[in-house]
Amino acid sequence: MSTLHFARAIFFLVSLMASMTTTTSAATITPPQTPPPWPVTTPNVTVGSIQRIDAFPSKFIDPRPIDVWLPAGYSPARRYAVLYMQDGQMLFDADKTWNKSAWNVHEALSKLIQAGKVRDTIVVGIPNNGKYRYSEYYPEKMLAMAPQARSDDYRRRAQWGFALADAYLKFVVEELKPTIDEHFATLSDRANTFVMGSSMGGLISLYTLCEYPQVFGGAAGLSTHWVGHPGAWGYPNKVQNASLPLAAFSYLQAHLPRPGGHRLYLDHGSIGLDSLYGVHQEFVDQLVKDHGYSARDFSSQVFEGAGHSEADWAARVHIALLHLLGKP
Amino acid sequence: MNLRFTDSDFLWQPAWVAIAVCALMLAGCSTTPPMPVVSAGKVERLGPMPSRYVEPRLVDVWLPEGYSPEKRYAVLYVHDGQALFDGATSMSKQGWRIDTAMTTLLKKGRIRDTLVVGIWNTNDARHAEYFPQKVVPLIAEPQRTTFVQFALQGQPRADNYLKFLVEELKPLIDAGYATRSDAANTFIMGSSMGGIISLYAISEYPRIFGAVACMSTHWIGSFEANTAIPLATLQYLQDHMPDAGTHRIYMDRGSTGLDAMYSVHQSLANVLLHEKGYTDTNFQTLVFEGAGHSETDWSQRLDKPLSFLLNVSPPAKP
Repeated sequence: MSTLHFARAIFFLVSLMASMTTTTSAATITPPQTPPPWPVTTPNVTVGSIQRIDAFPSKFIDPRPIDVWLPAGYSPARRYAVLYMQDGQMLFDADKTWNKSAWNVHEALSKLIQAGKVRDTIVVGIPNNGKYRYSEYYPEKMLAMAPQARSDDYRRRAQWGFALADAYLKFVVEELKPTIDEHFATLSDRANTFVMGSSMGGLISLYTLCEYPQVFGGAAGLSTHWVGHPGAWGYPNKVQNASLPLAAFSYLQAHLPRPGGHRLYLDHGSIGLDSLYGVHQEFVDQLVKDHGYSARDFSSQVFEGAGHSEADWAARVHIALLHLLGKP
Repeated sequence: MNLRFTDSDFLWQPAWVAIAVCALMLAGCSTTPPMPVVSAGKVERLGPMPSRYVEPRLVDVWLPEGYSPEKRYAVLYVHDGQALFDGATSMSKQGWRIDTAMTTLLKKGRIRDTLVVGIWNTNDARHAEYFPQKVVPLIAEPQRTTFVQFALQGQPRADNYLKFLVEELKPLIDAGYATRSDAANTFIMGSSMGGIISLYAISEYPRIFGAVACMSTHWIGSFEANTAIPLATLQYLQDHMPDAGTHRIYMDRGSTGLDAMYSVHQSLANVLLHEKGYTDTNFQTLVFEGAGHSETDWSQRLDKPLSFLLNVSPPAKP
């Protein structure tokens, strides 16, 4: 039985790749980037295994490879929670990232699973779209709440004219998740579906939870980039601002899921970009508590001395994993 | 009608202006609350001052030692007027002792010649008059309905309070005293809710007021920690803060009591003001560790906002 399931998954992957080569090309949403903003080969992992879905086709966003990490001893006879992660090209294999640094989330998760501290979980890494990362990750409905001049400027200078976050979420919910649930042995219910990311990936993860509270049971944002502005605009003065955070808070005020059915984890360090987040995170902490979230459902952590890098997130990702995936 | 005149014009003004001021001063003498006892200078009481916009209230005008109609004075309007001097008339029986702080700074030559106009609150309507009216529609539900019903007694009154200040009181002060009536010499200040209404006043009337000081600004609006009201207030400020090139802002907070709840909101306000172009030259934000939420606390640091607001030579425009 399990072999049959596995064979069907392989057949699906192969047929998917075949369909990609026979179709002339999936709809391209944004101008092509050369080289592509993700590694062309599958990451190597020290524990568990990765199955790559190459050039996952989408009606909503540019096709890209999806890396599905399966824990050691993965068996279709069992059922797994699913953790969707942003910036998927930075998760598993430091040799294949632009800065030679990675989250190594598979190592942290493996240890927690082996220790019996979290449920069996697979990780679905979705790579960001390089130049269009701010287009896909900055929550559209938050931006709509900023003053018009600020949002216009942001769309022009940070998003190159492309606002794609809502399309990105449709891809995740309507295209990617059904495929994952069909071809892997998942627990597809809300209580076992999670999303996590860092920096801009933290914002889009939180947005995912708020927009699809029936689909996702928890979200984690490490070093959530409340300020929205690209670091390249000039740290710190051109990055720090209140306009986009106030827009984000207004959105959260109206759209944070009701307490009781969702887990939320947020954190920040204190160095570099992370030094800009404390003022905003403190406000969010108060806002989430105002909404009635309990200490079990909401965790906000500060890591003194931590900066804004994959190495920093790798050092504490186990804390976020434990909060999200800890057994109920 | 034009009530503005200079002291050299005084004798030529319609007699009713002088009569009106004298009548208000006499009316003040006959009311129950005692006159504040000041360490220097003197207090003249106007009132209860009638208004087309708000309930009548007392106004105490403090004149520095040696006040002379031959000179010209900046004007500092301050809310919660019954708590500004010796405190005999304040609810807590504590006062700011602003007369002492002003006199010390004047003697040191640190501030310009200034009159202080203390506007009494009307206990019952204080919250309704001091909470920024245009912020109310920005508060999310269900918090808005509860807040309006219980804190504002069903009816925000701040816009009318500011009309009283700007359309009725200020012309009377400028008519009756030797003032400099321009925005560069017209200031507004308060603590707690008085801080919030001062910030609202300079935002609504940026051509009247040139600088503002807010001590222990009551960001939370109600008396429980919350984000709905501060968020609405910050959104209002985002759209209405006066231009940084022509205005100056002082803000502070303590760290205990109610003041402990202000930190997160004040920090966010600081980021907002910096984004709006305020810099160290026209924006001062201070934290007084250990200070709480009382007239005594404000009294102890009053020299800071007064020095900032009334400094002898305002910083050059950026």
